Order: sequence, then C-alpha cells, then structure tokens
Amino acid sequence: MNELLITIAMVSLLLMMLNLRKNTLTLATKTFLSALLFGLALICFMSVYGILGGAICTVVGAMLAGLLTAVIAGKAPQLLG
Amino acid sequence: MNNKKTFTATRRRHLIACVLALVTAVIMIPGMTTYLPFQMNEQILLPILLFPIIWTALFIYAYLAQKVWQPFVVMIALCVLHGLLSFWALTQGQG
Amino acid sequence: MCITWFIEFLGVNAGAGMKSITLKKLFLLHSWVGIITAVLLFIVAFSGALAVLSRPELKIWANPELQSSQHVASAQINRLVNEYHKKVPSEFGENIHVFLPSGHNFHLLTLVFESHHGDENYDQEVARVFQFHPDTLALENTYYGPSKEFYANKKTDAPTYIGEFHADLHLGRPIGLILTGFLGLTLLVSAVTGLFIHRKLIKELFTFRRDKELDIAVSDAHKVIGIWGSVFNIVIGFTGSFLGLATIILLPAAAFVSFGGDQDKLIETFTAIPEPVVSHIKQPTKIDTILEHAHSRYPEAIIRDVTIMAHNDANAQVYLRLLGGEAVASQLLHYQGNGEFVQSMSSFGDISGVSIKVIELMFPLHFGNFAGVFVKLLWVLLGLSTALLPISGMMMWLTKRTRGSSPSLSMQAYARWNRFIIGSCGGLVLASFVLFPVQVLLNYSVVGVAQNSFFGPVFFYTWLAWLLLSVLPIGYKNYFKLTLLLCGASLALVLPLNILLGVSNVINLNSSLVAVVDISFMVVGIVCMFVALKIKNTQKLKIEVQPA
Repeated sequence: MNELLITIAMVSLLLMMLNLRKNTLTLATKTFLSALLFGLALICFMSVYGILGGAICTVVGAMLAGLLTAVIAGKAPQLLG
Repeated sequence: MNNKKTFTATRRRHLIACVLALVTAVIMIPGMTTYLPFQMNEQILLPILLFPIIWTALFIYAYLAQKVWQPFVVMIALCVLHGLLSFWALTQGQG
Repeated sequence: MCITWFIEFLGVNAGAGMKSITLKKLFLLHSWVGIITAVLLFIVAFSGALAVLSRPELKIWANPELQSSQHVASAQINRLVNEYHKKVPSEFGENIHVFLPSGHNFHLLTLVFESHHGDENYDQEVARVFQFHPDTLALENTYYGPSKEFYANKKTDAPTYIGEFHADLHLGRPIGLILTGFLGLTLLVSAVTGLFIHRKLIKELFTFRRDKELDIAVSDAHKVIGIWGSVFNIVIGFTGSFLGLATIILLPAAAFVSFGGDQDKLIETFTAIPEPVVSHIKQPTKIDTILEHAHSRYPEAIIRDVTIMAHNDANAQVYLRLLGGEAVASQLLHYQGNGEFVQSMSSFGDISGVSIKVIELMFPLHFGNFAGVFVKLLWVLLGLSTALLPISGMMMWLTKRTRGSSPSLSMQAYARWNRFIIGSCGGLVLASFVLFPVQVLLNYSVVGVAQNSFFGPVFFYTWLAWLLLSVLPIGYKNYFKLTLLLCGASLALVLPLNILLGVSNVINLNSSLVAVVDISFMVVGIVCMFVALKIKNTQKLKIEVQPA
C-alpha cells in the first residue's frame, strides 16, 4: 500500500510539472490543476510518512520531479502569463 | 571580466569578507546570548542557528556595498557592541 | 519598502528593479566563490550522495555478519546482558550500552560495560566489550581497555569510510570539520547569489536545450539544476555548515558568556541524563519488555542502541535511541527498569523550546535518513545534482574565457584545466567506486579490524594516481572516457566477484538486499561504460585541443 501511495504521489508531482510546462492552458487552469496535484501528492506522502515527513517529502519530490521534467522534456514552449 | 569597474578596493573587500565577516559572526554569538528575551535554552541555541545566516549576509554585504568602508564600519560596530555586551555579562557574572 | 530603504542605507544598490551594478557584483561573487570551491564542493557533494546510502543499506551489504538478519530477539538480548553482567566487575555495571546490529553502528551485536571512573588498571573511562554474531549469537570478539580506544578503532568498511570522508575529508578533527563546515557556508552564498542572478526563474524553469551545442546545454543544465535544487542546496548548505562548525566554533562561542567557554559544561547542562541513585534493591531490568514496547509503539522506527543504568536495580533507567518513524528527527525513549514508559524526548535530552526542534531536524534534513529507501534515493539524486553544479559552473567559466578575439585562456590552458577537473573530480569518483570490489575481496581474504588498514591506501592512491595522470598531455576527451570506463568496470565487477567469493549473492539469494545492491552496481556500471563508449559519437566539442 505504501509503495502504491508513493508511486501515486510521484506521478502527481510529475504531472504537475508537465502541466506547469504547458503553454496551452490559462494561468488560472494551471494554478488550479497544480494545486490539486500537489495536494494529492501531499496527502499520499503524509499517509506514508506522517505530517512533517510527508511535507518534507512532497517538497523534495517536487524539486526532483521538476528537475527530471526539465532534463527529459527539454526546452519548454513560451509560458503564458 | 571588468573587476576594476565592478568592485572598488577588491583586496580589502576580500579581507573583510573572508576574515572580518567570520570574526563578526563569531563574536555576535555570545553577544546575542546576553540580550535575546528568551529562556536560557533559546538564548544559547538561537544564536547558533543564526550564525550561517549572519555570516552569509555579512559576506555578501562586504562585496555589494558601494564603498568599502561601509561594511568595515558596520562589522567593527557589531564586533564592538557584541564584545562589550559579552564583557559586561562576564564581569557581572563574576561580580 | 522599509527593507529596501535599510539596504540602501547600508550602501547597497537595491532600488526598484535591482540595479545592474548590483547584479554584476552578485554575478562576479557567484563566479569567484564557485571557482574557488568548485572541486572541493564536488568532492563533498558526491561523497555525501554516496554516504546517504551508507547506513544501513551499504553497511549491511559490506558486512556478511549483517546480511542474513539485522534483528536479534529481545529475549536473547536480555539473556546476554544478564549473563555477561555477571562476568564483569561490579563497577562495569554503571553503564551498559547495547548496540544493536541494525547497520548503523557496529557490524556485530555489541555489549559495552563501562566504568566511568576507571578501575585498578586505568584512570580513565574503561570498557569491557563483548561482540556477538547477530545470527548465531556466538561470541566473536572481546575487548578490555580505554573506551575511547575501542570506539576509535572499531571495524570500518567501504561505505563507512566514504561517509567519514564526506564528514571531514579524513583530515581529522577539527581541521576536516572546519573545512567541510565552511564549504556549507560557501554553498549557501552560491545558492543565494545564484537565485538573485537568475531572477527570471519562471522563464528558465524548464529551459534545457540538450540538442544544441555542449556549452549551451551545460549552461542550461547549470541554471535548471540551480533553480530546481535551490531549496535543497540552501538546506544542505545550512545544515552542513551547522554540523561541521557546531562543536568547533558555535558551541564554544555560545558557551563563552554563560559557561566561561566550557563547551563540555554547556553540553552537560543541557543534555545530561541524570544518574540514577542505586538503591541496592535487586529488581530485574526488563530489557525484553522495553524493546517489545518500543517496537509496538514505533513500528516504523529502528532502535539503534540501548543504554541501561543501574542494571537489575530497583532504580534502573533504560534509554533507547530510535531513528526514523513518524518523528522524523531521532528520539530518545526513557523507561524505568520495570518496563514502565516515562517519556519520549529529543536525542539531545529533555530540552524545551523551538530552537532544539529545529536543531533536531538538522540531522534528518541533511542525511535524508528519516523515512526509508525512497527518501534516501531522493537525497542521492538531488545530492548528485548538487555535485554537478560546480562542474557545470567551471565548464561555463572556462568556455567563456576561451572565446572572443583575445581570450584570457589559451587552448593549452583550457585543456590543462579540463584534465585537472577530470583528474581531481573523476579521480574521486573512481577511487570511491574502486572501494566496492575491494570490499568484496577483503571480506573473502581479511578478517575483522585488519580490513581497516586497506581502505585509506586504496582510496587515496587510486585518486592520486588518477590525478597525476592529468599532468600528462593526453586528450581530455579520451581521459574522461577512460575515467568513465574504469568507474563502470569497477562497479560492474562487484556482482561477479560476489558470486565467486561472497557469502550472499544474486545466485543463492541469501540476502535480497545484497542481490539488489549488486544488481544496482551492475546497472550503474554498465550505464557508465555505455556513456563512455558513446562519447565519440556525440556532437564534437566546439573547442577540441589535440595533445602537444
């Protein structure tokens, strides 16, 4: 179960980064989707590691997800807003 | 690299950043223990926690200041102030 | 606005839209600090990334005694403590330390009976130690002598050696700690100045043009890693500087006014565990009950060690040191000898306040060891990205200086710089990777503490040899390729060596952890070799220098 929650959390964070990278969405939509995905990752990590551990893991996981997205996806189209 | 135009008195800035900033940050630790309005644990632990932030700020300031005397004066003033506070606290403790 | 006014008052140009001169100064400062600390920062960051996994995963891999099981039944621990307490003089029952074979301390279950006031042979703290195989509980090792000597000469292994290298570069304390502590401070400066330079963060968040020329890709990589890793780098710099400088500068300074500079007195005041008053009324200390209770109360945490004071006395006190679990920071559990739980507190002792909570978090935030392997992998990957920052920065700095009509760096100097970076940084990677197959060979051929004398020479001579090779006028691309090939070969050698010589391996599957680690080494090794072989097929470097 823990492995599943961790996988869901990391996938959410990766999707959040891909969402941030897109230029076909408005800023409001991006913000809403990002908040939703970040919240999902936060809940998953907190279920596994507790409140403090989960919060730390979510932030660190987001950093790594962003880095991987940038390195793998390459140059982003021009961002809106 | 236009060092000469970007920085004035480069060597003195290096000395202030590398030596004086460290001395100032270290002297501030015992000095801060004398005036922080917290219980003893916090009075001792909080300055320890603030040391990296203080040193980083002083280090960067040594280079960013327009004139080299500005960080020099600020750091000397901090040293003297916190040194005096430590000295008074020590003499009061002994007295 | 008040902050801007204050900063302007101090003489810094920080008006609306930070003035270009200030940005120029920040850029130069970032460059200088980066260039001066680049190689050392890579060394500390890379060894740190490896050290994250050193305890307990790689330590278990490195020690056959730990491979089958790291758990000893609580009843057995209780039996051993009772049995061996009867064999030592009474003064050695003052403090009993039980180091569990969890992969964080010793490679054996270790019972340390300490007399703080010495005995008829020693005036200093003296210990009688018994070490047992975690599986068979056979007595493997005994020791009698000064406590300090025992702890100083305990058996080490490859991952522990790398972890200790990260902490103080094996330069001893305090010099090594001061150096690594200051590197933490300079990392802070680099991270903060870097953030100010690249203030258009949003636009550069995902900009990585790997299809372009190498210098553009390297520049993008530096910015992307710097931006995404900025919070991590700031945390690592802050916690690293604290951990390095705390005992050398910070605690003595803080103790100056209140304790006359006596750091030991300050530590004792805050962290002292009160000595129990021995009642001389016999009452069995229920170590097994206490261990079971701790396991059930904190099922995710690992018990690292147990301290028993006044064993088998009515006033006995037991302290358990736990790592991991929901608490994040390590904690100390306090029990009465009869098994009654008293309290949970910080591993530094019963100290109140917010600052101690922040200080407690320094260790798990730096080591990433608070929540299992997944979190450690996050720390390893981000740590490796931190290691790549100074390298990419150096490459940018060097490339810039070879450009233009009158470049400040000649082609020969550029080649020499490249060879130096490969020799120093690549040499460290090679020296670290070589230790792993050497560990397998040592487990086969050398027993116990005798292994300690091999790690230093193998590590430093490998590094030195590779660095000396950079003096020769070889093409730096070939030099880099050879470095990668040898690194890959070293790691790939581990799995076949373990099959031939190891107690646990991927064939007999005595330990799933050993199998996973061996396969991981093989995969990383193959990737290194594959990348090395691909180098000639990639886009040629803009500037390529042929050997003289």
